[in-house]
This record gives sequence, structure tokens and C-alpha cells, in this order.
Amino acid sequence: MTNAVHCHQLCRKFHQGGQTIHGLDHVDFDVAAGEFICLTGPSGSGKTTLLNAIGGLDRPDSGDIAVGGVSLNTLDQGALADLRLAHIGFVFQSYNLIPVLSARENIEFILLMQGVDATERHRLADDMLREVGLEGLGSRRPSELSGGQQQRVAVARAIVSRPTLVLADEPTANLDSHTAEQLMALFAELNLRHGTTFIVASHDPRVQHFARRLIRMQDGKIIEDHPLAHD
Amino acid sequence: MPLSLRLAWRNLWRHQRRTWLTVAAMALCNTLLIFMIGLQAGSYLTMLNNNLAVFSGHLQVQHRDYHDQPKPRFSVANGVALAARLRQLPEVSGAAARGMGFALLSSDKRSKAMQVIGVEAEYEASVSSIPGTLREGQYLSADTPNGVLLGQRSANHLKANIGSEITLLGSGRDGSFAASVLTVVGIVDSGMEEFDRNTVFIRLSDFQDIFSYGDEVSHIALLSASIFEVANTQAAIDGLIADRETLRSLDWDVLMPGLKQAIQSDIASALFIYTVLIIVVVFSVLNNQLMAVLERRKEYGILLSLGVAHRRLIGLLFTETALLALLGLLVGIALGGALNEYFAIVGVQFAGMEEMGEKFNLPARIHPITHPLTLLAGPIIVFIGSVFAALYPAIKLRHLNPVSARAGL
Amino acid sequence: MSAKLPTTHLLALAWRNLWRNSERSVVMIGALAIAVAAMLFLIAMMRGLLNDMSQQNLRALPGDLQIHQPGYLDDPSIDYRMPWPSGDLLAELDGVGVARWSGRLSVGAMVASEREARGIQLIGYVPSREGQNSFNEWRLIDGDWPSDDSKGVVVGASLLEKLDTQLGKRIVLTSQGADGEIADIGARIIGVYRAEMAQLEERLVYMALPAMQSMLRSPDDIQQIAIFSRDPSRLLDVQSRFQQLLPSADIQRWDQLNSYLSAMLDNMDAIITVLIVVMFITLAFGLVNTLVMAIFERVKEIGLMLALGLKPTQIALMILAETLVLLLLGIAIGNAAAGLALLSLRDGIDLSAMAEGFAMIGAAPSLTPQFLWRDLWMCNGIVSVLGLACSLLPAWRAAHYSPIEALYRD
Repeated sequence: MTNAVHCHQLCRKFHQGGQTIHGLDHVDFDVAAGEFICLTGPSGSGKTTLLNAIGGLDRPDSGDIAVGGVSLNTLDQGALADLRLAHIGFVFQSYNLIPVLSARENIEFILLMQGVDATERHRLADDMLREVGLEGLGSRRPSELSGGQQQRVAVARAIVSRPTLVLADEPTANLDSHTAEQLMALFAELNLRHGTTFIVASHDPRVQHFARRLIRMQDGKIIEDHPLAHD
Repeated sequence: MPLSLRLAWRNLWRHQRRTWLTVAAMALCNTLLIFMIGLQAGSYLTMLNNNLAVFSGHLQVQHRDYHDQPKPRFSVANGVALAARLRQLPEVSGAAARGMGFALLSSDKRSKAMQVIGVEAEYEASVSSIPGTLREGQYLSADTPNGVLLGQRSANHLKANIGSEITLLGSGRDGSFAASVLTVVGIVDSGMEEFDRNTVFIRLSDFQDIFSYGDEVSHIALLSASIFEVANTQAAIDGLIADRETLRSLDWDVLMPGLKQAIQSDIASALFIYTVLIIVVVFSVLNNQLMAVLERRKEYGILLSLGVAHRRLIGLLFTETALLALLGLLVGIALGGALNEYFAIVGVQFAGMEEMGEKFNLPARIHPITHPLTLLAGPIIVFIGSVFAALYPAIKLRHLNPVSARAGL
Repeated sequence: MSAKLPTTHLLALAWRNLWRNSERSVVMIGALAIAVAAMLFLIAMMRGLLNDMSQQNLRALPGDLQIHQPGYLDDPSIDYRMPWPSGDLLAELDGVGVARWSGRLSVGAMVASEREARGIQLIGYVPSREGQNSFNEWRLIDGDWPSDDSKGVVVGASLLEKLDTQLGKRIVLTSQGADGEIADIGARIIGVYRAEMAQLEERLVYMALPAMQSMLRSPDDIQQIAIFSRDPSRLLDVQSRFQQLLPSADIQRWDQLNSYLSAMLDNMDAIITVLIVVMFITLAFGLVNTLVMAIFERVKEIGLMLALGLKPTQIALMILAETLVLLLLGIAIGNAAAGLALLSLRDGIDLSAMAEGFAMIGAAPSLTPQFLWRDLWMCNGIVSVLGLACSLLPAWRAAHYSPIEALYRD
């Protein structure tokens, strides 16, 4: 079985104020399908850079990335966009939703671009809203939802097209602890039910509580990588 | 530079591209205004000079009823002597007496009813450009008794050449039969088609004999040093003719009301275009400053929390807008002035201008005028309008609540 | 699989985006609407003025098509005359393309009353052949127009005043006869008219053609054949048919008769285009600013859309759609405002305070705007096309944001 994600010798340098920063420094790691990984480390350690590289938003300076067995190096911008649309879901810390679209429309947006017909879109979006516990709030605009509710919509949008991989960057950063736990429980449940692979970058201990593998990064390197056991 | 001015200046450059785009809109509008106003002024001045200098003059002295009822009996007695006295006035740069009549003129082949104008041959050139447009033969003089000067087109129509005999038939001032045989001595081309087709010139003394005018004349045409000094000149003339209550002086505005109205209606339609241009630019400035206020809500919230008064922030906004408008003004004046100077040298030519030139006696090219007034009038209005545009953003700022603004709400 | 956003959704998204910063959009739409409305209004006024000048120019001697001997227009003398139409020419004139036609005489003449003499234009016409859209539409304030066999003349009110005479009195008309000798005739004033322009009123004297022919000793001759076509859009055809029939004759359409007016008519479209483009360029800076700002404050969102898999072309299309909606709103409001203004002025604007100025450019002191659909399409078309062109660069830039740069921009 092919790995969900395969990274080999990834390097990515940034230049800032005359200094070279190693965003990624020879990173090697593999993710099997259905894993729930917590990517942690201090800020600036390379978590976001790694997620961006896996999502095809940014190209590494050297090294290979394959998602679902497809090497990203061989794909052009358009093909990368298609890959994201079909196989990868994103959840960001903020600016997650398109402000002029309602919660349901934000979820449908991805389906719309995939060419799913209207009835099917409505059905799927309603299902997702129910699944993330936002039944009845579908017609609200993002500004009319709480931070937790907004993140739920973002999660719903990330998984509505049944991607094989969900990348989340500090999804709980702006949430109170109760809401954060609810969100992570939702991740864990989706991971179990649909076998979706989750890679969540976060230094929030509550995330670790739900993940089953921990990868710790520092200065662009993986310094710790082990399964997490929960009771 | 005081701090507030420095702050306003720096605020302006937070969005360089946006500022430049707005400055460019103002500068373009100012350039257009300067050019168009300069061009208008140039064409009006040419139009006035050409029309008035061809024949009517800046001013005329007439019998007080002649203008309303141009009848031979409303004439100026002792016209030649009066013209000589008027010529002595320092304000008057040219004066010549004329007689005006209608007659049927016939060559051996053709006949045509035309206006016959008797001129003081030695002084006509001081009030009219027509003597200078001589195409053939010579101008009227003491040596050309019973000579007649034809326009190019009337010569063609009568099929007459230099030396041809022309018979004149008409009626005299007293209603008697007026007739004479004249000899063509010269052909002129006034450039004004209608005028050229319908007018001939003879010596004033011949005119007075033929039409039984005695020492009467129809009017005395006068030029002042420039069109801007007409009022002065008129006052001097009125002083001189004050003792003759049958006479009055008329300025070009009264003599040719159509000319002034044609200019006024042209100004009115141009003002319409200018107004729209200025409104469009003011809207651009309004949008620019509205954006500036909206995106600085948090910042204003902090400043308000620190105790800076609303009016200080509003003052800052107006300073910033004024600086923006000043940039537009300076760039516009530089570009517009340069454009005007360039076209003042090469001239501007429009489609249909040759045809229009014949109608209004204009040259084929018009040269815009650069004068402080033509240079500043448009840009200053744009400046005022632009500063005015900050009013609405200022009202928004006035109602800003420090707490909600700081939260970015 | 390829990401695609259907057009309806693109427009819906554009519509909502437009109202996120409603004040800014309203200001921009307002500026567009004012500019469009003003342009349409001004164009209709310019067309109206030109139209009026053309009509006034023809008022003395109307006719869609006018046939003269070559040379007459430069030198309107009785020497350039022709016989009353017969044979093939008559057949063509009475043919299908011609609504009606007439023959006329028009010479310079001197008119003298007991007290005054004036130069005038004497026009001989066949009253029964002239229709209603001619000079006899002018208001007759006293007496009657001549009948075909009448010997009297009709003069303008202001000429009557200048001549110091009145209706029923005799005047003497003098001109050159067809034989080159002086021709004069005493005639009674049988009618007095008023025209829109005092200039014409003072100059034009009308009489019946037979009376004028006998005065000029040119029985049966005329100087002008005026033709009114049945279908104005076929005028060119009619003109070329007559030109074939009379190869040496000078045949001019109404719009060619005055060189100034025909030059203006020819250049009108170019003048209008320049006017619209200049106005638009002034507007364009504000438009580009609005678009750039709209994109600038939405950079993160555009980054998000790219991250979600929206193609750059889709982003560009979204921005173009937003521009289009903005333009269409401005144009629609501008069109409506201009329409209302023109509708309220459809009976003309009274400018009698400026009568002499308008007379100088050959127009009556009442201006009726002339609206042409072509001008509307041209104005709207130029604004739309240039407006979209303005949005191309911002749209292209937005489409080429790097998603992570956009997403993580502060």
C-alpha cells in the first residue's frame, strides 16, 4: 500500500534580513493512510513550511514529496490545484472562510468547483453541517458565527469532498479550551469513521491528547517522532 | 516641517500606488482643464480680434437711433471732421468714417444687389484689415476718383476685372435716384465669404456725392489698443461727443451681440464638460480618503484612546487631503503648462476647422494661451473640490467610537 | 478533473464582494453614472445642435437632394439655369423613389420701398408643389402665401420693418435678367412671415415661380430641382440614379450642401469617441484604485481560494466579473438618468436669450436634443470595454499571488 505522504530529504531556505533561515532541513518522513499526526515544535521550527510543502502551496528547494503516490515535483500549478481540490483538505488558524458566503455556501464552494450538481451539493453540505454539529446554522455568514463554529465550518469544508488527507495549521489557536476539545474530538471521530489521514500542526497539548503519532520539529529538523498511546 | 504635516505626508505614502493613481487622476484633469481653457481663450481672442478687426471695429460712433433702425437719415453730421478729432484721442488707435448704402451693381455681363461702403481711403487701414488683403490692383486713394474695390467673390460674380466699368443704381439719402459709373481699381479678399460676396467699397467722398450725403456719414469705426481696453476708450470717446446729443458710442458687444453670445454659449457647454470632469475626479479623491479612514480604524481607535481629540484626527485628514490635492495641482500645472506652451508654438488643428474658419474668419490653426488665469482657474477648483471631498470621510471619523474602532469593528 | 466555477455563481460571488465595502462601490458607481449620463446628454445636445444647424441651413430652400448646374453653388447667378424637367428626367422625378419634387429660382436682388433699399435673396417657387415641411411652415403673421399664379411677394417681418413699409404696399425688385440686362418689377406685399432666425427673415423674399420667371425674362427656366425622397435611408441610391441620368449636373444631398456642416457631420463620431475616451481616462484612475483596493484587502481570502484549489484563471474571472457588475450598474444608472433628462427636454430648450449667438452659428434659439441609439451603444460599449481593460492588470496580479504568501500576509 502506498503511503499517504512520503517526504524525502526536503529542504527549504528563506532569506530574511540578510540571514538564511532553514525552514526545512533535510526532512524525511512517511505517513501511512489513516494516521492522525500531531506536528509540534516551537514557532519557527518549520511546521507550517512542512504543511505548505505537503499541500503543494510551496515548493521545496530540494527533495521529493509524494501525496498518495503522486510526486508533487512533476505537477504544474494547475495540477497541484486539482490535487488539492480532490485529495487534500485544509484547515487554517484564521481567515478560513470566505466572508461573503454563508456557512453552507462555504462548504458547497469546493463541491461547486468539482462540478457536483446542486441537489447533491445541498445534501452533502447538510450532512456535513449535521456531522460537525451546526445543523440549522447553514445560512449564517461567517461574521455571524463564533470562532469555534467558524472552525467547524472550515473542517466541514475540508472533509466534504472526502479528501484522503487533511492538513490543519494551528486550528485551535483562537479557541477556548472547551471548543478546542470539541474540534479535536471531531477530528478524531472523522479519522476513525472515514479513515482520513490528519496532520495537525499545533503546540496545543490538547491536540496531542487526540493524536496517535507525535512529530516534534526544531530548526527545520524532525527531532522526535513516536506513536502516542492513549488510555 | 511641523509634526502634523510630517505625519500627514507619511500617511499619504502608506499606499504609494493608490496615492499616485489619485494624483494622476487630478493631474490629468488639471492638464485637460488647462489645455482646454487655454485653447478656448486662444480661439475666442482670435475670433474677437479677427471679426472686429476685419470691419466693425471695437467701437463705433453712430446716430443714437441708427443701431436699432439703420436708416440713412440717422447719420452723423460732419463725420470726417469728427473722425479726425477722435483720432487725436490717445486711447484711440484708429478711427475712420464710413457711409453705408445698398445699390444694384452691374457690369456689362452681370448685375447684383450689394452693400456699398464709402471709406476714408487714407484711414480705413487703421480700423480694418480689408485694405491689407488686396489681391489685385491698388487700394482706393485720392488718385482713384470714382474707383470701386470689389471682393474676390463679387468680382467673380460680376465677371469684372481691374479697369472694368461698373454701373451703380440705387436711391440716395433724400430718396432721390442715385446712379454712377465706377471703375474697378482693386480686388480684396476679406476671408469672410458672405461679406466678400455682398460688399463693395468706394471712397467716402464719392459715396457722399452719389448717395446725396453731403458731409454726413453712417458711422465712425474705432479701434482701441486692445480688446481689454475698450471700456477706457469708450469713456474717452463719450467725453468727446458729450456735446452732440444725437450721437452715441457703441462697443463691439452691442454692435455684434451674436459674437459675445456665441462665445458665451460655447463657454456654457465647455463648463458642463469641466464640471463633469471635476466631479469624477472629486469622487476619486473621496474614495481614496474614505479607504484611508476605513483601513485606519484600529489606529484611530488607539489614538482616540490615548486622548487625541477627534478634531485633531480630522485636521490630520484634511491636511493629508490638501497635500494630495496639492501634488495633483503641481503635477497638473507642470504638464498642462508644458502642453500649452508646445501647442502655442505648433498650433492645434481640428477636424472641420477649415470650414469653420471660413464661417468665423479664424485661421486654420488655433494657438492656446497661457496666462495665470487659464493656468490656475481649473486646478484651483479641482483643489478646492478635492479638499471638499474629505468632508464625508471626516464625518465618518467624527462618529468613530474609540473602543469599537480599536477592535476593528 | 478540472476546477470550474459556473458563471452564475461567479456573478453571485462578484455581486456579494461588491457590497462588502458598499460605500466605496457606491462612490465608484456614482462617478461612473454621472460620467455616462453627462456624456450621453452632451452628445444628444451636440447632435441636436448640428441637426438644427443642418435644418436651418436648408430652411430657405429645403430638399433632401438638390440639382443645380455646376457652378451655381459658388456663384448663384441666373446664368446657371436649366429648363423645367421633361422626358427621362421627368419620368424619374415622378418615379417611385421620389415623394415629391419641385423647381425653383433663387437670385440675389435689390428690394426698394419708397424709403429704403436692401439686398435680399429672391426665391421663386411653385406653391402647389411644395409640401408642408418647407419654409411655408414658418409662421405667416399677416396676409397669405402666394398661389401658383399670384404676382405678389411674401417678406419677413423684420425686412418689412427695415423697409419701413407694410402689407399691401408695392415694392420694387431689381435683379439681373436672363438676358444679362437689368430686370425689375413692381410687386405687392401679400404676406409677412416670421422665421426662427432674424437673419433669414431679413434676407429671404418669396414669390410664385411664374411671376419670377417673367420678371427675369426666363420663361420655363429654373435654377434648382429639389427632391424629397420617399425613404431617407435610400437617399444615396436616389442620388446616384439622378447622377447617372444627368452626368454633368451638380447633385448634392442635404448633408453635403454646407461644407462646414458636412465636415462636422463626418467628424461627429470621431469627436464623440474622443470625448468619451477622455472622460473615461479621468474616471479610470479611480476605477483602478477601487479595484486594486478591493483586491488588496482580500489578499488572504484569495490565498485561501488558491489553497483550496481554485485556479488562477478563476480568480481573474471573479475579479473581472466584479468589475463588470460595477460597470453595468454605473452604466445602467447613467443611462436612466440621461434618459430622464433627455425625455424632459424632448420639446426643446428655450435659448432665446442667446438668439443672436445661435443665429451666428446658424441655429435657431431652441435646442432639441437628438438621441441616437448608436451613441448609446458607443458610449456604453467604450466604457465597458475600457473598464474591463482597466481590471485586467489587477485581476492578473491577483491570480498570480502565491497562495502561502497571500495567506500569511499580515
